[in-house]
Amino acid sequence: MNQPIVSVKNLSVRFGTFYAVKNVSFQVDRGEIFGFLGANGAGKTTTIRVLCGLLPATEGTVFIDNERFTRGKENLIKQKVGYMSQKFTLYDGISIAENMDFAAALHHLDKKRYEQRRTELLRFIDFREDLSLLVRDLPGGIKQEIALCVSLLHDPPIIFLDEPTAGVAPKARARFWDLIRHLAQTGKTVFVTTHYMDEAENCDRIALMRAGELIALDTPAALKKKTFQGQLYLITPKRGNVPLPDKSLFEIFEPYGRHYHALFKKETTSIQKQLAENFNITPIAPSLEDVFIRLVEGKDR
Amino acid sequence: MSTLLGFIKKELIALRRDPIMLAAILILPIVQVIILSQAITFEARNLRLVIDTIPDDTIMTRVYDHALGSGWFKKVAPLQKSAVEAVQAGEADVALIAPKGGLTRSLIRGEGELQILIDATNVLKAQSIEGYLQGIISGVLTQEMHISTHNPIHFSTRLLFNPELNTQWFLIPAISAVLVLMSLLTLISVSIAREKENGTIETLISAPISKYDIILGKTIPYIFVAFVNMFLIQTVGWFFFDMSFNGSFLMFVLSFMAFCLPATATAVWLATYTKTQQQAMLGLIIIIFLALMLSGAFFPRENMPEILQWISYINPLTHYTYLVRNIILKGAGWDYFAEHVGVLLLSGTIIAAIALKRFKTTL
Amino acid sequence: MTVFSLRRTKAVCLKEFKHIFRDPFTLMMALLLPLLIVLILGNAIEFNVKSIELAYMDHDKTQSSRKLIETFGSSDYFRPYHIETPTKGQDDLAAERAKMMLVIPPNFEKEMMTARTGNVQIMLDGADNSSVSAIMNYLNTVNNLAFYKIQGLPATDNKPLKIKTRYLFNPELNSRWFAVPGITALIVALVAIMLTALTICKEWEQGSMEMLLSTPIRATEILIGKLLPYAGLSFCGFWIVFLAARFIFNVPFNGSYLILIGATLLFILGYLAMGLCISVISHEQQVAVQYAAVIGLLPTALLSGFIFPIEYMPPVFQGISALFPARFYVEIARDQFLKASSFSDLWVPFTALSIQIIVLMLIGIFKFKRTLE
Repeated sequence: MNQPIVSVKNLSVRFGTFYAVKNVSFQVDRGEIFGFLGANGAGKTTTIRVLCGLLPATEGTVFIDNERFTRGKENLIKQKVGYMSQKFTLYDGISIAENMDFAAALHHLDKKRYEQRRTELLRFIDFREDLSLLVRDLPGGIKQEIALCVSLLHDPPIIFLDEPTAGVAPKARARFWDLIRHLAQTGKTVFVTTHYMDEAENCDRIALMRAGELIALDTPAALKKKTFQGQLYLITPKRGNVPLPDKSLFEIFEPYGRHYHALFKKETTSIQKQLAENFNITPIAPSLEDVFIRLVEGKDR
Repeated sequence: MSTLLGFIKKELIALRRDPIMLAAILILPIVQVIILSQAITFEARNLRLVIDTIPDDTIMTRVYDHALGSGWFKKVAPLQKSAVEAVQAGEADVALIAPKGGLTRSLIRGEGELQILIDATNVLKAQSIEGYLQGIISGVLTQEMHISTHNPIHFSTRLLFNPELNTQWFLIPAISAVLVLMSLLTLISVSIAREKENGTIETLISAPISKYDIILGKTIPYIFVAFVNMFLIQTVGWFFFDMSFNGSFLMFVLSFMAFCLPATATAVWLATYTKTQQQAMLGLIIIIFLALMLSGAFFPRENMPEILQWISYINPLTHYTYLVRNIILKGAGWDYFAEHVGVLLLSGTIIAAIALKRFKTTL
Repeated sequence: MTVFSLRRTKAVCLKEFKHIFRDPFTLMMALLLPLLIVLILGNAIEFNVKSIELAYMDHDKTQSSRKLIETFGSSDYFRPYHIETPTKGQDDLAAERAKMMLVIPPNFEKEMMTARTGNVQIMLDGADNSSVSAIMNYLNTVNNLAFYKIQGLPATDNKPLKIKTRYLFNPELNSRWFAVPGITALIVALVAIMLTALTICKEWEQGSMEMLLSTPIRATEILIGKLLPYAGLSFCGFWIVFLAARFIFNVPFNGSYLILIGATLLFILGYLAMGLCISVISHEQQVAVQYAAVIGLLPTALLSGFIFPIEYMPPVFQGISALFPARFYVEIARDQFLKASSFSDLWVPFTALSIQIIVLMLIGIFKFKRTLE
């Protein structure tokens, strides 16, 4: 059980001359929530497609649950993964039950097992409505939860969620993440991509992609610690139209709404005092967003 | 005005970036015109003729030779069957059956009788076969026996406007009218449906622009595309089929513009009912089909039952087809132009009014 | 490697059926449209021209000239009306108020009496090809009738040669008998190509194809499952036209159901495969429709011999028309309705149809599988 469930070595995916994924290596442990972050076009979805057996790798090796990916073995892999894509989740025009029946047939679940799984999963998401409701009549959050159930129906050890909460209301998002944490506690591995940095905090480990390359991989806490050696401050102007401080004083000076997140190059009380005339200065813990910006910008420089 | 221009620019750029779509819009119609106008012809050829008579029947042989020489008919490979059976089995299109003892002898006896047996599964073909054979037979009789079976009164017939009965001349104006309608309807209603499906229409509505801006922005670029399209097709007609242009060019362009009103209005009107591209396209197929069949573009309106004739009269495509055909082939006069453009503008205004009203309530 | 699974295929099939039955547009397209098409087309296609507007000028103004005009008027074909000047006639021809103009010269009666022949000028609107040849045929008939009438002779046949024409298979030259069997091809093509191309494109567009592929399902299972319901719908469309042909238009059916249904099923398969190819090429519904219309519908309507006889086309186009299954299907369908040849007489179109379908299917499946990888 100690072996990683996903093991990727020197993975590259090339379309023509364009590398969508370039020499990426990482491992995902069993029962872990693995966050996969990056801007649009950073290679997240391409990587997931390879891991689900939808796209062949140009180079590199991929192991899923100790099974090495080779041509002709896609179906073996496909039984071991669940996949919830970003674009499509459930068929709108048919009912919840029909969507589930359909998925069960695709995976060849026998009737008893299917019914048992269905009951388990519906209890898991605490769904008590009528299963004959058409999917198009469901609110977005519920739809995502049902979609999660559908992709878990065949009880795969690992599930890939591509932006599962995009466009879902904040409250429903929080609920969805509760479900994800629950899943991980029961031993499932969750591989998730997201745009929401507050969500990423829930991950056990985070991989950060930029332009097809993996630029960071660690726990959120370690990432923050590694990226920010000094103290980060929240700087808030006391009134409108105050002149901005000299940027050369800072390592980082990033606007966040009307506030700024700042890291001093050299932290001295005199500078602080000088700034305190126009600004409120509070020490804060760095968020993943700070880490994200710093890492991506650091590379850009 | 500048929002409108920006809008139009956006649509055109999006179109340019989509090479498959662009090919579908611009190249396919030309290919279509060339292929279809070549393939569709009312002029008979390769009709398979068999004769059934005794060997030394000179008149019958003359008729047969004349028929083969005319270019309309061709021989059938020697058969085991009788002529009647050959037609029944579909191995010949027509059989000429001489009376017992041959046609020549029966004519001499003064009791000539000849049977023509035609496979009438295709009515058009059957009619033309009849006509051709009658002509050929009476020609042979006059020449050989100095007897006239036909035409005691001499009709000196002249064909106006298309003296050689060139089928392409008849079809290309009609095809171009149909293609203009098809491209306008498809491009506009599908492009609106696409915005709805992708949810981008909400951005448009929430932007501080009026619905007129949206509608104009969505239609003007495609009117432009349809205009280009029509010119390409006409050029093909001039270039490949020596089709002369007899009318006023101004009239031609004005007719196009007048037709754009009902066509785009219909597209917008359809778009107010549909939520997805699939629905839009199904609606389109029905509309285009009805417009085409009931327009006189290919099937003469005069022959339809009265009720269909009425429906076809309110069909804008009918009037546009008339206009295009008339301007190109006959050099239409301004009164003709005024009548049909009047109908186009009237129907266009009515459809546009309905479409505009619905456009507001449904979005 | 999993083998072909009937269960997964059935699941896809079932899902598709549910989608169809809950989508009024698809159902309408599949069932209502065929009926609409057959009713309208069946009524609109009429090649026996009637009521041709005829403008005439009578410079002779004698009994003979009046009799000539009467003869035109008493046939069903022409509706003569009087005009004063030749310019008016030309204008009417130009503006489509008349299809034909007749000018009788001043000495018409004199010629008729002395020379037993007369000269009359006729002008036809050549811009309308569709009616000219029919008018020319009628002119021959009217010519003889008028001659006897003017000469005061009984219209008995004292001609040296009596020509008796018999029309086989369609004795009354009924345009419906000819058009309606061909419409089956048009409708099956419409339903099969359009719906197939659209449904597969939709699966790409909404991203569900990706979800399907992340499961163990195989390409063939997706295809069979998705195509089968549309094959069924197309078949329904066929029956709608068939019933309309038999009971609304009273077209006889002399052939064998087995042959017709066999050919129809083959034809449906061919067009499903074509729809599949289109969807694989285009991936987008909007583009797919354009292609479906151009590759599928237009050739089916115009290059299939449905209306315009194939033998009339230049050889190149006869070759092109042989690329489309519609040509052979129209041949078989029309034959089975009106002629009833046996299977052994129809082996050529059947073989051609089968070959085309195998090729189309192979291309479709191959291309489809390749895009999945």
